[in-house]
Amino acid sequence: MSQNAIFVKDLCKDYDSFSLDHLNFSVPQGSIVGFVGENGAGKTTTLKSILGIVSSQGLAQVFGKDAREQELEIKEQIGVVFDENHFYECFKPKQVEAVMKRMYRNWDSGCFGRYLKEFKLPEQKTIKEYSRGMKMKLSIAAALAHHPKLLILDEATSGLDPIVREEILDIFLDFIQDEQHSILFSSHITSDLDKIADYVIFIHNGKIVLQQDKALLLDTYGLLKCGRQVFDSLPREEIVRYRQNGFGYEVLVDRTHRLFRAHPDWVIDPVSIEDIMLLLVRGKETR
Amino acid sequence: MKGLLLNDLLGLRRTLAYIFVFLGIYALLFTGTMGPEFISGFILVLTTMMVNSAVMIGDAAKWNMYALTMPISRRTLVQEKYLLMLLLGGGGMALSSLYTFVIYLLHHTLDLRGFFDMVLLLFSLCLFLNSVILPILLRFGSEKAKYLTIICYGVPVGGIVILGGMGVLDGWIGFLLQNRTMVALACFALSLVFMAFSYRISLWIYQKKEW
Repeated sequence: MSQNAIFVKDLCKDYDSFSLDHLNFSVPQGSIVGFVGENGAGKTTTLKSILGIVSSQGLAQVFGKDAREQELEIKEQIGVVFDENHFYECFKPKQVEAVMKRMYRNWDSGCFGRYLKEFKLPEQKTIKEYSRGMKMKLSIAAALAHHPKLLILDEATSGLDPIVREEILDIFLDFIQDEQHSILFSSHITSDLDKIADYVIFIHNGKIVLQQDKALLLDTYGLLKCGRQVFDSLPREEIVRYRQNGFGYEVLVDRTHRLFRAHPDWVIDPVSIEDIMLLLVRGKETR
Repeated sequence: MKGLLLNDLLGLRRTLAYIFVFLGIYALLFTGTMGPEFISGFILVLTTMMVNSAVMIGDAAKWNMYALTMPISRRTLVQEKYLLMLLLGGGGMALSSLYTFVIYLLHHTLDLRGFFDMVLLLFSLCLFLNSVILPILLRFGSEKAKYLTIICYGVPVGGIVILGGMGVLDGWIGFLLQNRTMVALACFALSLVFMAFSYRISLWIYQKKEW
C-alpha cells in the first residue's frame, strides 16, 4: 500500500468569523490532488496549517511524520509555491540562488539554472522587472530545484494568462512522472484541475463537502435539467444539490443510479469540476 | 541561518550603499563643525539601526512567512535578526573606528581612549533601543509598529535633551566624564543582558505569530 504524502485528520482552526471544521483528507503518494473552493473557503488556511504557518488542532502528517514535531526534516522535501512572489524584488536570479542554496541541503544549482533556461527567465533583470508569469516561474524553479517529493501549490496559476498556465501545468505533469512525487494544488481555477488532478477535494465554509477520484467524480455526477414535474418526482435523497432558474431546475445527481437509467428521456449532462463547485456552493441541498 | 543572513544583507545592499555615500558626504562637510565624535556616533547609530530596515523589507515581501515553508525554525528566524543587529553594529563600529583613525592621522588631536568609551556607550544605547524595538516590530509588523518605533527612538533621545537642558543631568554628566570607561563597560554589559531578555520575548512572540 503506497504511503500518503499528506494525511490530515480532524484538522481544526478557529478565527473570529471563520473556522476549519474537522477536516479529514489525504494526498496519496504519486498523485495530484486538487483542492478547490471559492474565495474564503479555507484552502489557504488549510495549507498554512499543514505547513505550520498558522497554528491548528488535529493531526497533520507529511510522509508519515508529524508535521509539527518533525517540521524541519519534512520541509527539506517540500516545495511550496504561493500566488505571489516573496523574494525581494531587487534580487536577480543569482541572488535567489545564493540564498536558497543555503536554505536547503539538497539544493541543486545546476537544476535551478536549467529551469531558468527552460522558463526563459532573464538572469540580468531584477524580479521587479519580471512579469507576473515570470515571477511565478521563478518561484516554481526555486521550489523544484531542491528535488522535493511534494509540491504544495496555493493558487499558483491565479492571474496568469492561459498560455503561461498551460506551460506551468505541463511542468507539474512532468514533476508527477516520478511516482514518489505528489502535488497538493489549491485553486479556484477549476479548468486547471480538470486538466491535471487525479483527485479532487471540495471545501466550502471550512468544511470538506466532497472528495473523490476525479475521473470517478465526473463519471458519477451529472446535471439533470428538468421542469417542475420531473423535479417534484425525484426522491430527496437523489438530489445532491439543485438550482432553480428561468427555464426550470438544474439538479446535481448521481447519474449511475438506476432511477436515471430507467429514464433515458431525462437529459443528464456531463459536469465539470466548476459545475460541481457552483452547485455545491450556490445550490440548495433539499427542496 | 546563513541563508537568512545573506537574504537580509543582500536586501539591504542598496540602502547600505546610500547610507555609506550619505555618511561620506556628511563626514566631509561636517567634521569640522560637528566634530569627529558626533560623526563617529552618527555612523554607529545609522548602521546599527539598519536591522529595523531589514525587518521592514522582510515584512513588505512576506519573506518570513515564505521562509517558514523551508527547513527553518521560528527560533532561527528570531536568532538571525539579533545576530544581524550585532553584525551591523560591529560593522558600524569598524567603520566608525576607520573614520576616527583617518581623522587621527590627519589631525593628531583625537582622544582615542575617549573615542573608544564613546563608541561603546553609543553601541550599547543602539543595542538597547533595538532590543526594545525588535519585539515590537516582530509582534506588530513594520507598518503597524512605525509609530511605536518613533516613540521608542524619540522618548529616550528627547528625554535626555530635555533633562540635559533643565540641568537635571549635570551631576550625572560629571560622573560620566570622570568614570567614562567604567560607565561604558557597564552600559555595554547591561545592554547585552537586556538584549538577551528582548530575545526571549521575541522568541515567545514569534512562536505564536501567524501569517
